[in-house]
Parts: sequence; structure tokens; C-alpha cells
Amino acid sequence: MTLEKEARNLINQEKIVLTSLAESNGAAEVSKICEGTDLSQSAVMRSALNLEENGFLEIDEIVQDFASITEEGDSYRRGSLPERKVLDAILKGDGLNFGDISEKAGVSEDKTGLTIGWLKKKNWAEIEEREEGKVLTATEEGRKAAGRKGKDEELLDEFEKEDELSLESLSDDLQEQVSVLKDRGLLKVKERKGHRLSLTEKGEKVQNYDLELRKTVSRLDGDLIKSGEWREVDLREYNVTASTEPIFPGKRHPQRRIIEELRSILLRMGFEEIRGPMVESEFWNFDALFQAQNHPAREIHDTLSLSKPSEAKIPDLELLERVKEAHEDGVVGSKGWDYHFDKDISRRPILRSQTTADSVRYLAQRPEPPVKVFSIDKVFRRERIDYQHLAEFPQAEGIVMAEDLNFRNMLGYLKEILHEMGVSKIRFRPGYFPYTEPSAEADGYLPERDEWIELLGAGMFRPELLEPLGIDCPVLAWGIGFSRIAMIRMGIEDMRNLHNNDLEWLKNEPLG
Amino acid sequence: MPTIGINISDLNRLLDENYSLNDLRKSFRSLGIEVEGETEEGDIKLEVLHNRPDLLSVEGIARVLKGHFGMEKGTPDYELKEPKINCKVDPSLEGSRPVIVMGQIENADYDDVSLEVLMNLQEKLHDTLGRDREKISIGAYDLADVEPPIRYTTILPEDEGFTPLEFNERMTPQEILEKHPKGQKYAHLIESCDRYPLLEDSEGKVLSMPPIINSESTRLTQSASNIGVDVTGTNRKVAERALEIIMASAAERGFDVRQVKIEGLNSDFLTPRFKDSEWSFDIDDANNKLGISVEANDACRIMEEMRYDVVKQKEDKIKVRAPFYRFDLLHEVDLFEDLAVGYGYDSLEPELPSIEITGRPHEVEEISNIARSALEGLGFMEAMPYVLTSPERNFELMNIDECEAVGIENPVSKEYSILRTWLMPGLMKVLRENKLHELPQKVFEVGDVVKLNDEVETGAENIKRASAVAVGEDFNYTYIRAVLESLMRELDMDWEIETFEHPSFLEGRTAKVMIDGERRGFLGEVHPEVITNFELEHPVVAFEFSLVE
Repeated sequence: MTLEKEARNLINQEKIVLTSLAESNGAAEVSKICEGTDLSQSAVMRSALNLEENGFLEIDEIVQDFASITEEGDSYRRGSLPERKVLDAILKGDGLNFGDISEKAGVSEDKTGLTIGWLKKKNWAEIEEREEGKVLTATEEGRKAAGRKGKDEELLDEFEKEDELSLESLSDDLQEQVSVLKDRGLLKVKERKGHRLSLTEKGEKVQNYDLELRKTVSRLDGDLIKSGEWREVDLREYNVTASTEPIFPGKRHPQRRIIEELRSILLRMGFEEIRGPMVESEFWNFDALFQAQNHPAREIHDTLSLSKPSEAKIPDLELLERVKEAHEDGVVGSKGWDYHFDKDISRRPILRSQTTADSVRYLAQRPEPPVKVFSIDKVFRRERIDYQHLAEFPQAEGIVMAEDLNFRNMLGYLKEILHEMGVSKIRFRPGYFPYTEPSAEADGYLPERDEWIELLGAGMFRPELLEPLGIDCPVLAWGIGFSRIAMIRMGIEDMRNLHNNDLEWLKNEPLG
Repeated sequence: MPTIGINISDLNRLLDENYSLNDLRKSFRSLGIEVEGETEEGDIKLEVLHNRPDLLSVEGIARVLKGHFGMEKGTPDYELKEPKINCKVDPSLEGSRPVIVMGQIENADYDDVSLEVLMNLQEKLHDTLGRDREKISIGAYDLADVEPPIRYTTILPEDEGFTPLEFNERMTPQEILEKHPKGQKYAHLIESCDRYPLLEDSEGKVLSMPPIINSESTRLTQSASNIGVDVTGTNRKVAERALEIIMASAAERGFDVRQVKIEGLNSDFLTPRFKDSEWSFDIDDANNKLGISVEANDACRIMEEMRYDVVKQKEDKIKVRAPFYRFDLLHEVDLFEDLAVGYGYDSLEPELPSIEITGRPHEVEEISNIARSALEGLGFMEAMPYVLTSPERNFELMNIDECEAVGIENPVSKEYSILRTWLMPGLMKVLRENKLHELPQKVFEVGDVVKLNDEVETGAENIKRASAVAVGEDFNYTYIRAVLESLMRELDMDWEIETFEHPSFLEGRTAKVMIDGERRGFLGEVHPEVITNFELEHPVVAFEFSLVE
């Protein structure tokens, strides 16, 4: 960097120190620089250290004497020295009687002796023997001194602004007075350490460049930018490593993020998203799924039944008849469940207990292949909410209908879904669902837990389910154990935390 | 799925083998039996599939393993003997629990382990098929001192009675229901009847008072060699199934099993029946369903391992006999699954078919996600409260008098007894739960509420709504209006705002949201009463509206 550029990069305080040193013939004590400028001692030192680092000056440690004013000295500074008071009193009349000193000059009696001593020493007065007694009269010297401050008095005045002065900062003639006033008990002198700065050769040279001061600002604002004034000012430097108050973005709930992840996987795999009502009839939730009306899952301790609304409509009564027949006597070679099917039960509204209800509703409306749909929707169970049970939770499930689909194709979907979810090691085993046959469970191996976890259940819809819907082509159905996957992803053990709405937790749970 | 405990040495005794659990793990898994745990004493906890009550005891497990390991082929060879005993049903049972079926086990040789297996099997059947004894109840007795024929009759609650198990004094039926632990537990099943069911012998010796408790005098112990088993209840089909399973378990242990003749209210019949079922299928159908190509011969071998008899095989047509205890078989697909299990799920290569369909998100979910993104961008945090709620929170705390909502008939608690009709109360609860955390707080939800509607099929419909609330000293109407304004802009919705009154909001500081001339929601400064109802101490502003019509 050229010296010119270095000069430009100097901040104002550094420029002041350099200029001030140059004015003091290249060297000065820090305290001296403080006097000549408006900088505090620490500001000068901070600049000096930077300047030293960049080779502009050297810092030497020195020992300095400092004078400070005593209480008595300060009272004389504010008023005047006693000998000055007496002199004034002498000049006011024609001499001053000894007996009147205290009263007319305002000097306390115990000081009169000393004061007379100083008047004589300074040769301001002499003593005349008159008939009324001893009288002080002014000398020639005394008359000259009237109205003109002595050096000692000038020194006292120096303390008007400072409590403490370095002796070196005083002019030589004032310095001489320090010991006099010290002896009179008006000043005290102490030794203190200080610093002396002296310009290096580089520091001398830099004086040849522009050391004009620039404006310092803390905030860069629009006016500075628009006017271009930013070029002329110094922007205050920040402590960029200092810590700040934490702030947080608005975020999606961790459970939502897992739902979204799953949704995007399924959309990517070519599934269409469907939704269904949370208040569902037993018809769609169970009957149409060939789940017998006396199936344990339909009992009052498992399913939430409703007091309001009291009845659901069945949109297709012929379908209801066909479903009834499938249950009672069986269709397409099935034995059926061999019991009395009650249509009133079909009309009972409940809270949807399985999202398969959404799928079968869809099939009833769209019985033509191909179909690939999924839903991630809420289901309800009659559970007391605790560590491992929730009364409502999302279920993710889907179906595929196409000609010539087989059980291995279904395993193919399970493998693909798990693969997309990042589970590569999987195995299958027999499973049971009331509306599928054959059925399978898929376990995924989680290396971080060294465990096989049941993640998916699936099967091919039973013919007794499909026949009443007028479907004679295979339908694969799968369901994801959403809560389990979400808990693993979120790293939680307590199922209730799937719905944790603690803001501190939500803020601090990272998106990544 | 039901779980059962089995003892590994008992299983080995049945298999005549010396397996450790680890030798069996893979087989269990391939058969759909899950190992849940194991104790040091060699007790194993297994989870079996819902539709297989025949696997609810170690004998059933041994039976499938014998086929799987090739120790036995086809249906089990149980000899069912002709009846020696009759059981007569008294007409007084009509209208209560008139069903009874019975079987007899002879030359029994139970030890403490196997007798416990029998007891546990009874309990498992009570819990599953029997719906905790409501449908059926099972009893087993030492028949040594019983004089046939047996009578299934009734007794008056205040009758002389008998000494029930675990007690040493005679009690009246009434006293049993009141004092005996089983009486107390199951009294609800019969106490509405004038007369209680009773099983006794020809000399009036009491065997049991179903479905409550057996008599101490016919208590079953290890020394019993002649055992009677009865299943009583309301449903004959279920009762027979339970009996068949118990008798098959006894037969699997090598004990003699004999029928009992039931003189029922309408007809006489013999139980158990051990009646196998016959099925025919085309191997091509099975192969197509499973996506494999098994030769008919191999299919026959597999079915025999799965404990089916092959009756006849002609080219691709296979006729099999399924064992009587397989009540789960309804359709040939159930046999195809057994074929797949025997073939081995591990041997089935997953194959993803190619179906040309494009994935498509649901429109409502798409709009919901736009709303979520916008609100996130405005610094709101998403909360996910429950859909189940209480009338108190949904209405009362919000200063609302009405209470039209989907109501749960059998709620677990009042806290979850209706479905929410709007989102704001849930968000207010979130604020209450976070009241000790730093302010300001801003939360939102985009989710479903459910409203009653006679017009729709199920009487209620999901409505997707968006709501946001903010609490803090500096929030006011202007702020929340600006937020809503911004959200509507992002959703590209044409909306209007009109003055409005709403009991949850301050008068003069609330407005309604109009879309297509219809009121869709509202916004404003929340009423101080509502704020204090939720134990909050700072201004709250909020909006809520339906995203779709």
C-alpha cells in the first residue's frame, strides 16, 4: 500500500495524533496531546497503538511528575493569595496598620505573620514605625505588582480546568513556581507513569500527505449514499464478533414438515392426492371395506361414535344392497361373514378411524383403471391420550388400481416408498388387515437404532370389497405408520410431542 | 394384534425337538408370528395375527411349525370319538344365554405348565372371540365325580347356590355377583335376567354358573384325566369355534377327544365337529395374483406344509382340504396368501409396475400451503392443535353462547368431546400454554374444522380454514388487518371488508371478511374478557376465514 493510501485510510483520531505530534516537533507525552486536542487519554492511546503497529510512531514509557492543587491552594485560586489581599488593602489607604490586617484585608489572624513574610519576600511592602504603631506601606515593587498577576498566581490559575497537571506540560517559568507553591502547601506533586510518543521517519513523511479530518458517522443512511457523501466520511467500526439477540423465522410445525415430505414423495411417484370427511358413515369406514359389523374394531371402546349428527345418508342404495349381500352370504366364491347385516349400523356416523374410507369412496366413484391416489388425513381412535396413544393422528395411505397388478407389484410400491423415504434395507412378512388378502408388513432397518421397525402395511383389496363396487381388476392398498415415522424423524419418544406447540421448542427446532 | 406367552421347553416337547428361540426366529417371522420378547426362564412372548385364533396357544404354534419343518404334512390327524355324555338345555335359558357346546378330553395328562396353557387359552379366547365373555364363556371341569347327563339350566339369584372357586363356603348366586371378584367383574352380563345360567350334573352337583365362575367341587387339577369343556353364550358359531380350538389343542397334546351330544332348544347336535373344508383353485389364478410361477406340484407341496391336504390335482386344478380350525378362510385369495407364506415372502422379488399417471396435489392442500408460506414469511409460527376439543374452549371461553358442533357420543374425556368449528380457540390455547415465554408471539394454523350440515352426506363437512393470532403490547387492528391483507394478496383472493360485531372481539375494532358476497371470516382485536379467559395479560389480535367456499 502506498503511503498516500495509508494516509487516506487513517481514521480521524489517528490523523489528529500525528498532526499534533508534528506540531510538538515530533514528540510529546500523551497527556500533552490530550491538552492540545479534545481527545481523551484512552482515545489517544488507542490511536497510538494502531499507529505504532503501522510504523508511524514509537511509544515509550516514561515517568512524569504531576502537580495537583490542595484545598487551600484552590481557595486562593478562586479568591487570591493572602499577600495579594493585603497589598490591595495597603494601596487602598495610606498604609495598613498591623492591627487592621485581619479586618481590612480579610486574612485570618493566624496567617498574618506568614503573609507579612511573603510581602517582604516579594518586596511588595515594608514596615514603618509610626506613632499609632507598626504600619505596612507599599514599595515601588508593590505598586507595580498591583493588578498584575505573579507567576505563582498564574500557576494556580492553570488548575482552573484540570485537577492535575504534568510538570512537563508547564512552561519553564511556571515549572519553577511548582516547588514554591508546594512548599507553601498549596500544591502537591506525585510521580506517575505515562507515555511519550515520537514520530518515526514514516510518521514524519506522512505529514506531506492529506491529513484533513473527515466526518465520522455510525449509521450509513440513504442521504449519505445518495449524496455520495459516504466517500467523505468515516463509518464507525463495529465490534463484529460481539453476540446479538437471537431472532427466528416463522416456521412450519415439525410434524407438518414430515407430512409435506411424504406428500412430495407420493406426488413424485405419480399418486394423486384425495381428501375425505372426518365425520364418516360406518358404511364407508367399515361396511364397504368388508369389515364385518361385529368386528372388534367397530365396538364402542375403539371407535368414536357421534351424538350429533345422528344419521348419515347412504348415497347409493344399490351399493348398500350389494355390500350387504357380500357380508351376509359372500360374493364371487366367498363364504361371506354369515351374519345379519344391519343397514341402520351402516348409517351411523362416526369419526373416521381409517383413511381407507377415503380410498374406497374414491373407487366407488371412479371404478375404472388406472387409479393411483393417496391421502394424508386425520383418523380418530377412542384412546386416552398418553405417552404412546393419541386420539387423533394423521394416516398416510394410498391405492393403485390397474389391470394385471399382482402381489409382487405391491411389494414393489412398498420398496419404492421406503426407498424414497431413505430406508434402503427392508424386509417383508405376512400381515393381516380385514380388507386385504394377501397382506404384508414391511419392516425397515434403521442403522442409527440398529433395529428393524415396522413401517408399512399393505395388501390387495379382497374380492368381496371390490365386487360390490363393480371392480374386477386388482387394487393394491398400502398404509404408512405415520406417527412412528414422524417420531423417529423428530427424535421424540412421547407421542404427544407430535402436537407440541411450545414456542421455544418450535423456534429452536431447526428446519434442516 | 393379540400376544401370547409360550414356554420354549413346552414347545420343544410338542415338537420332540430341542430348539432355541434363535433357531426359530426366522421361521416365526416367515409365518407372520412376531417375537415380542423373551425371559430368562425360557418364556417367549409372541404376537400372532388377528384372524388366527387357532394360534392363541403353544399347541397351535407347534402345529404350524410341524408343517413348516416338514415333520408333519397336511391336516392334523386327530381322532374324534363318539359321544358318551349328553348335555340337555333347559328352556328357561331362552332369551339370555341359550347356547352351549361341549367336548370331552379323556386320558388327559396335564402338568402345571400345560394346564396353565389351557387356562391361558381360555382367557385369550374370552378376550378375542368372546369379547370379554359377552359373547361366549368357557369352562373346564374334572368329570371324575360328575354324573351325566349334564344339564344346562337356570337358577334364581337367591337360590341355595354353591361354593365358587377360590372360596370355601357356599354362596347364593346373588352373593357371588356381589362378593366374588369374578362376580363383580362380570355381573353386568347377567344381572338383568330373572334367572342366572347354571351347569349341573344329573344329581344337582354344580359345575359352574356361566359366564361367571366354576364350582369348587369340580375344580380342574393336574390329576384330572377325564375333563369336560363347555362354551356357553349367545352366539353358537363363535361358541363352536372356541370349543374346536380348545379341543384341537388337547388333541395336539395327544389326549383323546370325544364329542358331547347337545340336546338343544331346537335340535340335537354333536360338538365338537372337527369338520375340515374343501377348496378348489386354479394354480394360474394363484400365480397371477401373487406374480409368481409355481408349478402345480410345488404348489401342492407348499399347501401340505401349510397343513392343507391335497385331495386331487389335475393339471392346473388343485383341490385341497383345509383343517377345521382355519376359520379365517373365506375365499380362495385366503389360500393364495397361505401359498405365498409357504413360498416365502423373502423369495418374492418386489417389482414396481409402470403406470402412466401424473401425480397431482389436491387443490385445497395447495391453497393451504400457499397460505402457510405467506404466514411463515410474515413471521408467524405454525401450531398444530387437536381437532378434538371441548365445548368450553370452542365456545364458552370465546364468549360464545351457541354450541352447534359435531358431538362425540362416547368421549374418553370432556376435553375431547366435540370437533372444533373454528381454529382460533386452539391458537388461544397455544398462547395460554406459552404465556411464560417471551413476547411478542405470533402463531397460525391452516387446518380443517368440521361443521354440521344437513345437506351433506354424512351430516357434517370438513372446512379448510386459516387463522393467525398475535399477542403483545404493540399489536392492534391495523397490524392484523395488514397481515390479512398481505395473505389475501398472496392467495390472489378478491375480498372485501365490512363492519361487524362478534362476541370474541372488541366492538368497533372488528370486521368481517367477505368473499364472493359471502361471509368467510373475521378479524379484529380480541375482547379483553376472552383474553383473560385464556389467562393472558396483553392485547391479542386475530383473524380467521375459510380458504374455500
